[in-house]
Amino acid sequence: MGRGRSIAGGQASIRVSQGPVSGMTTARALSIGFVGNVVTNPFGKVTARIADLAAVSVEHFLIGQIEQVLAGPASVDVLVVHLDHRWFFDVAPDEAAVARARGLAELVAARLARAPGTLILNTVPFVPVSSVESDLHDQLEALARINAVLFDLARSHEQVSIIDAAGTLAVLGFANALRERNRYMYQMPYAPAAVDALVERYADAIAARLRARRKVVVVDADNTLWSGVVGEDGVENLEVDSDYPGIVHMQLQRQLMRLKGLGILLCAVTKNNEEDFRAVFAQRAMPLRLEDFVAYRSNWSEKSENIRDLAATLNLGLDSFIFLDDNPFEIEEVRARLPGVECHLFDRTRPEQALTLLDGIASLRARNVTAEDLAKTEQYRGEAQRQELQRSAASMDEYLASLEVRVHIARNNLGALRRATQLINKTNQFNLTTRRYTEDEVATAMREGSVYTARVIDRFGDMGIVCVAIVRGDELETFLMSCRALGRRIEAQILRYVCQQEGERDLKARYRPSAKNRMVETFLDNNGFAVVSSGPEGKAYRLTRGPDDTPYIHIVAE
Amino acid sequence: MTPPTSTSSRSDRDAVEAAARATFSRLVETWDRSDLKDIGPETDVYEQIDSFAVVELLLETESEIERTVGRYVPLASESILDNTQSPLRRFQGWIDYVVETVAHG
Repeated sequence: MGRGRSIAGGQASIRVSQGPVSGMTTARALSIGFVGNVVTNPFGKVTARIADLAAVSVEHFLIGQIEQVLAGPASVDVLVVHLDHRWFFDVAPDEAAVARARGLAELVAARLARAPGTLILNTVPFVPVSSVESDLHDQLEALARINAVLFDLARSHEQVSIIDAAGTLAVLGFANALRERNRYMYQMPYAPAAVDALVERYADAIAARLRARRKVVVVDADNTLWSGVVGEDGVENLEVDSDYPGIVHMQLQRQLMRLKGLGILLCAVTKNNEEDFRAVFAQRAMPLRLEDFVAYRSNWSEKSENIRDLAATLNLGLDSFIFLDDNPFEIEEVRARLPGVECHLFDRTRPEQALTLLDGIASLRARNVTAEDLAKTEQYRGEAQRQELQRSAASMDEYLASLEVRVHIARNNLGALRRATQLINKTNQFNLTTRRYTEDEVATAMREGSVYTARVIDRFGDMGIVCVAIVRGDELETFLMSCRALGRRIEAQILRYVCQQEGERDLKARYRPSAKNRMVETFLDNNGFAVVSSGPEGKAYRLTRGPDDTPYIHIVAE
Repeated sequence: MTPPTSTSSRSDRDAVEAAARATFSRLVETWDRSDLKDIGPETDVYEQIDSFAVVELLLETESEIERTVGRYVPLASESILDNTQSPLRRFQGWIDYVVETVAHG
């Protein structure tokens, strides 16, 4: 036998660059490093899967050098650490293996504390076996604890992703996915199909951090949310229950509910009389209620037209939308007229495919769902409901009065310091002076004068703090409001309150023009302030009579 | 498909050989190695590709053979990464190695 080449430890790190795919525009450069106790080179195929998102360069570090890479200076945007079970244990998962996992988690946490970047780990693909039942139970428990250590790490570190390698290989079947001879001879335990499946999971994990998630799923009703056509079959004859075919639609509704819980907005478009559509929700017990939809359109218009209308109502781009329908003609109609909308056919005759559809939509994936995401869902729903109300109201005044707006105004509330500063520094349009403040400066203004923060609540929800006014000396230094609360005369009523509180003095104010605040150019003129001087620097005002009362907007002083 | 036995027919051997050649050609594209595109039977592949490419060639060939003959035949052996005995020292040697391993596997 002659001398042989070695896989383990015999390979210098390899750097491979892959430019953007011809004809594609890439938004950014991205470096990915791979290290593991297996040959990681085949995972380099991930570059092709995310070529539309980034120009990727790949570096493969030495096999087995996990600790060294984690503790060392290697700098990449994404570090993939791929470990098979042999890194944690030799024969069977046990307490020592759990300790090894904890050590790995500490190393990862330490790296993230000193270096930016994303780090991807994997669940451990291993099926314990034992001739002793209790030993098998212990092994299964230890394996679960190893994975739990990794999940805890991801929970506490936003930069960490965990791909489910164990689940991915289980879907293929471990017998098909694993090549044990190759594992021991060449440090490569995975069949090509398994490599492809793992590469897809890596691409998903990376893409979820690079790509904006679509926000809205628009779903058809007849033969999608339920089996049957409500206008022809009648509400009572629709099938949506625990028997086939009703169970297919019941399951779809449950899946949609789950998506809603993960921060996705649900809408419906259906060619039906509105009363028929509403009657289904009123008369049938189903997982989805009418209130679960942020908005719906039930009429005889083209679905593309209705989706465009929904986008306008929610103030979202069409590239935030996904459309689901059982009818290929409707899918094609929307696809042709609204190319930004991602369309999927819900083929209820093939439930084995139809019911895996939603989980397979890559553009719905996200690293996690924040409380802010979930709050936004409610805000979109509230905004859609306001617009529905406005559409049906006889007049603007009637609409505004029906909103039952209450404005809670606090003066010098330290608890609102962070939000007030954030709002001051990101509001450009409805901002009289566009003066920026640090958090310390806002605190100082609270000590030296008055910082008013206004929180707006109406019958459709709580918008949070949306307005800040700062008065120091005898001057209104800052007055601004988030655009999402505009158009309801709330701003004038808040200014009226501020003037009442500060108006004993000769209150001065100023409009200072910027590239973006034209919308407030005449705000003071229209609300009882008189121009004192005017020039390129803007206009100076003094308070005269102040804004008129808007009686249907109730101020609550806190 | 009926799995071939050790007395596999000529057509079975041809199919395996074609699968092995097709896999190599596909990987040459993947590796962006145009210099290996028109490879001759005596070319020393072992000298031309690194260990990781050898492993990839092995895995992909195993997979293609599985699709061709309908069963998994391990191709890995101690000789493949051996400087003197590797069948990859001659391209035709590699093809013959695959065909023989499948025929007797």
